[in-house]
Amino acid sequence: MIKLEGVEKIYRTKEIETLALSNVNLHIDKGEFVSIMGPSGCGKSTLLNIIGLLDNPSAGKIEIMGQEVENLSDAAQADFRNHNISFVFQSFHLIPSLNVAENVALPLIYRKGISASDRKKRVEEVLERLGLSHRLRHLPAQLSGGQCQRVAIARALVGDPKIILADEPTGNLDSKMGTEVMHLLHELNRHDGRTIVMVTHNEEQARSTDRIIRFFDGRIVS
Amino acid sequence: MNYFKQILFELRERPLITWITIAGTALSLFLLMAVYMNDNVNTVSTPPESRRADIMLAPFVHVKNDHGESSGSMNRNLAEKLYTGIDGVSSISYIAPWSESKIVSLDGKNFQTLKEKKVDAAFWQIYDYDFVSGSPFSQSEVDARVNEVILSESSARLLGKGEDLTGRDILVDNVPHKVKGIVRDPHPLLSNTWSEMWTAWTEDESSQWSDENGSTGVIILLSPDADPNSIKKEVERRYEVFNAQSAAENKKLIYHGSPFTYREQTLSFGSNTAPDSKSANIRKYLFYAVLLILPAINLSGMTRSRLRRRISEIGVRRAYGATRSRIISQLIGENFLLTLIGGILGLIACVIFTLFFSNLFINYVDVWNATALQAAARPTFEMLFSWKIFFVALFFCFILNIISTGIPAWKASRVNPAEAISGKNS
Repeated sequence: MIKLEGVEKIYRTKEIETLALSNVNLHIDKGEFVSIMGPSGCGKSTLLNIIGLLDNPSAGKIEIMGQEVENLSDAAQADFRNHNISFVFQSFHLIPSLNVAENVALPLIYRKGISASDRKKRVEEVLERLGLSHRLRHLPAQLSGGQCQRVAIARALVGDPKIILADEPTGNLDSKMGTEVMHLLHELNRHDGRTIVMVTHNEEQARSTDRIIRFFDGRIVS
Repeated sequence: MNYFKQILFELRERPLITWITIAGTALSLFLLMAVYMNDNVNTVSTPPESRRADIMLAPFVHVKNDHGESSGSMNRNLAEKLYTGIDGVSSISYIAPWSESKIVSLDGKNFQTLKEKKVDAAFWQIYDYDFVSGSPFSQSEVDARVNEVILSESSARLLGKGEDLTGRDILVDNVPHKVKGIVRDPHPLLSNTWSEMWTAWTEDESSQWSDENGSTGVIILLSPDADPNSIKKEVERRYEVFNAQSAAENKKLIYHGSPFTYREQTLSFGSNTAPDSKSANIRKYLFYAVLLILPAINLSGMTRSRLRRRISEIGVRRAYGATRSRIISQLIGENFLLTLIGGILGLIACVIFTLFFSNLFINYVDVWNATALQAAARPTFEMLFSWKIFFVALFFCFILNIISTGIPAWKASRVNPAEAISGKNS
């Protein structure tokens, strides 16, 4: 499903070069739920960004769903993301001026060929599934942290992506809400068969996934 | 729809910077439209000058001979030689280009001083005066030098004190004239048509100062689809013919581009110079550019500031499939709405200013020749506002928006999505 070969990422400024990822080789199977762990600044989020085509590697090959993606044009990458990859962020990153339904609809707005009525139907379905039907018209500022993350997960689901990338999805939630979100992610993995890659600092949450990849100084150490 | 929501959100969350952006746009549009509208007052078609776009004017001739140079109104013979029978001319009127003051009374009582315009029959075909009563004089009446007069409604009221004067005799400089008709007052800023009374006129020898100069001005109504430039070319050719025929007398007419369009007429500074439309246009466009670019730079800074706060949103949009061009069009669309709100406020402010306060700063008529009434006149709403003006304002808004938002939006769209989401690029 996801294949990385010799991936490197170097951040360059005028003064210094920082090696964020060094010769990363990784294979994640379809339907796998993988955790990435490591200390802060070790390159976990950089790896997630590169898998999610949000950032380009400095070297190496990336293959996602059998397609080499590192050399795709900006527009082709955007289209690929839109159809196949979704994101769940630690800080939710809901758009504050849009209500719940509009936030959830975001991936479909950028997808060609979906009518407004179809979009509305899919948004309502996914919000129903996540128990948020009664919050359709609420703004993010009117929701709790747990509700915001559920809205973010709904947004990640509405486009029916094969891959979900979650960057510390429970980092801003209390333990109860965190557990609830982890349940949701597991359900999406087991029930829907979606591939999930999650960056986390929580050892317990990581152990609940299929595999843990440990990172240190931009390298996979185990 | 989401553009509106975004603007409402901005107004709620960041009221100061959003209102400053709107006020800056309003001020910029106010200045731009003030310049444009005041320029437009002199060329906009409005009754009785409803056909300004199809009218050309030839008030002067410039002659050079052994005695020196003279420039001013033409004599009738020369005017006819230069302007009669040109292809593309639907109607031509010979008038006295200057107004005169006359002492007018009804039955030798109630003396009033009224401005008089001397016109022929064609004048009434070219300009669409609204006759309250009576009719314009015919060409046969003009040729017969019948003493007839047409009064403006306010002049008739002044003289008749409520009596209908149509068909009555009044004294104009002690000469009896029959009131042939009464017209609604033209707006005092319409200097080609405004007067308090009109008399029938043919130039006689006493008003011919030389073989070329006299007291005739020419008004031409173009046929539909006629090209003003081809009229000019023909007149220039006739100048050349005249000069060739007069070479032995060492006499020469200097061509200054007549007949003039209304636009050219507003740029004409005298009878011995050509209106320089090219330089005037360059000056005008430079002025517009400065009025657009300077506020746009300010607005651009504010747009950048607003976008910096939204950088993670842009990153999220990119993550979920928005292309760079989609981000640019989204930001330009949102900002256009903001610019439009400012633009409409600026346009309203400009109309109010021009209707009520513009006389403090702007002279719409030649103050040396204007009556007190003309000098104090303000344009009407109809002369100032039209859908054309609205669309010009909209166009200015669009340009202002592109200049002020284009670069910040383009930069925002180039941000690496990962960095944008983490807020590193803010």
